[in-house]
Amino acid sequence: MSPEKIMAILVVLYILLAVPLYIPNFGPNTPTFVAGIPSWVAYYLVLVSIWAIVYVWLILAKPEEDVQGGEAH
Amino acid sequence: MIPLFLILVAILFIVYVALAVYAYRLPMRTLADFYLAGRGIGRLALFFSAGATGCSAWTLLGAAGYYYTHGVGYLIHGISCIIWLFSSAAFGFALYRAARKYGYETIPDMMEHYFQSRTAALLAAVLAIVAIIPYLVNQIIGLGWVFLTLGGIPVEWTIIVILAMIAVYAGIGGMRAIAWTDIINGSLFLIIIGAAAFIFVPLALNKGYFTAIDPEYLTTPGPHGIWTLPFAFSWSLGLYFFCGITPWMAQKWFSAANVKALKTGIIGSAIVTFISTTGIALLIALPLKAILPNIQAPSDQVVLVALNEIAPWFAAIYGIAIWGAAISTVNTLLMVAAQTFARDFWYRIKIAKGETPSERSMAFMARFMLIFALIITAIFAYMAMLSKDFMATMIMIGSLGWAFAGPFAFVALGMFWFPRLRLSKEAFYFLVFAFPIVSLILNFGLLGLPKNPFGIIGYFWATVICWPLALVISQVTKKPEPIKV
Repeated sequence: MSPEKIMAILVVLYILLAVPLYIPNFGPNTPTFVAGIPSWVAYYLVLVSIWAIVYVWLILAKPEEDVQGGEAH
Repeated sequence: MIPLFLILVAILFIVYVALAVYAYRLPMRTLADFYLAGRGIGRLALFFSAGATGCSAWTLLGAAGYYYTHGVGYLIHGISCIIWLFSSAAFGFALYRAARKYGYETIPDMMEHYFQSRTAALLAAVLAIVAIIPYLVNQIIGLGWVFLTLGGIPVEWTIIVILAMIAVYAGIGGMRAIAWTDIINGSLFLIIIGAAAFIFVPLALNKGYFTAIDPEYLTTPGPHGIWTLPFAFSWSLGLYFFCGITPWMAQKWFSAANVKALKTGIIGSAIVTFISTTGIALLIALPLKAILPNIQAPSDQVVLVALNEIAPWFAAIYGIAIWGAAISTVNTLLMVAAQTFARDFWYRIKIAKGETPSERSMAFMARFMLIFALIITAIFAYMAMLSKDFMATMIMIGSLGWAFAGPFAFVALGMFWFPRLRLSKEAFYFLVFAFPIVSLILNFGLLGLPKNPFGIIGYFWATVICWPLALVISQVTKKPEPIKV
């Protein structure tokens, strides 16, 4: 599977995971706390940690071959 | 006594000019040498240049105030950075490769080549200008307000001073100078956000930080009911999928020296936006809410008002972060506007007449068009200062600047990846007119129509309405061949 496809799947998964943050009185979107941090913010931080993993993966991924040329069309 | 903020801006300006003079020593014979730094921007410069362009005066003033006024829901902005990354990676690599293969310097170049139509290029250039100028005017006026608050300089003068400063360093050094100044602007911006945290977070912790904030601000839809599920996701999905193909981000991808630099720029644009959005919410705006819960000021002025109360000495330094964020956007947008005038209008007309401009005339016109773009921006900014209605119009159109890249994104999807979704040039002409108009009407409830119908943002509706229509038009007209990159 190409990196583009993997990333597209990750984006969809990520969006689905973010949905609970915007459903009123559902899951993390309630005025409760996790270790002194509001549930909403704690869940948000978990989500963005996934984002950070994608980021690190991208940094480590081998870049594509460069393109030569540059002739005017 | 000269305010500290003005002294810091003057020091930065001297550094910018020094960098520009150094950049001037490198060859600048063609339009691409001036506007795309000879396609030679390296990793560090592209990381900060692409990152700083994604952050504007809005990030430090508007967004911070928005978190303060409407609560955590606006962090959809941070969540959406993954869409930003995806969009930048997809469009960035495709544009870079296509530009290397076919010599594109601008998005209209690509449209001309793909549709084999000069009209498509000119319409794309017009759409780019419509997206850029109001966005620029908003940035300049935002900076004018900061100069008035922190430097005591009237906004009218600020407009002239800022544009003159850019004329000097960008005129001398072109895109190279801008990319190098962006390293300074972007670093300052990130460092100052970090420094602000050391002031605000301890004060907030003393008050109990999150426990001192009304729970309505720590959940959605927030105290004013804005951040509903349809609004948040239509807002981010509708906008962030286009960001990688806006004319100003495309210019960054076109100017990358190699794939490594491009990759760093793509990651930089997403990571700087992510750090700034999350950082501003958790390190500045929410702590402010805990420290001073009832600031009575328009949301984009909340932070400066609070700073003047809590740490007046830091206000000038925070002002420099705003300066860095805004000026990096302003100078890039001005370069893209100038490039559009030079490459997409002047150069294209010359070629159409069968003339080949000399190196000397290209070097001259590259700078002349920069001054021309500066003058146009100044005229629009002054008109906005004189007329409230004109100002409101600029704010409306400017706020949709990123969304106006929609028609380019729809064309690119068929052009690069999904041949079945290819659009014909007639469909593109339709999109250039229909997409911005429908976005504006439904985003702001014009012509008696509802604003953001069913809680879904107007430009998302524009996608849902205009793109399928464009696909239908493409079925009855001739589609171009896909481009192999």
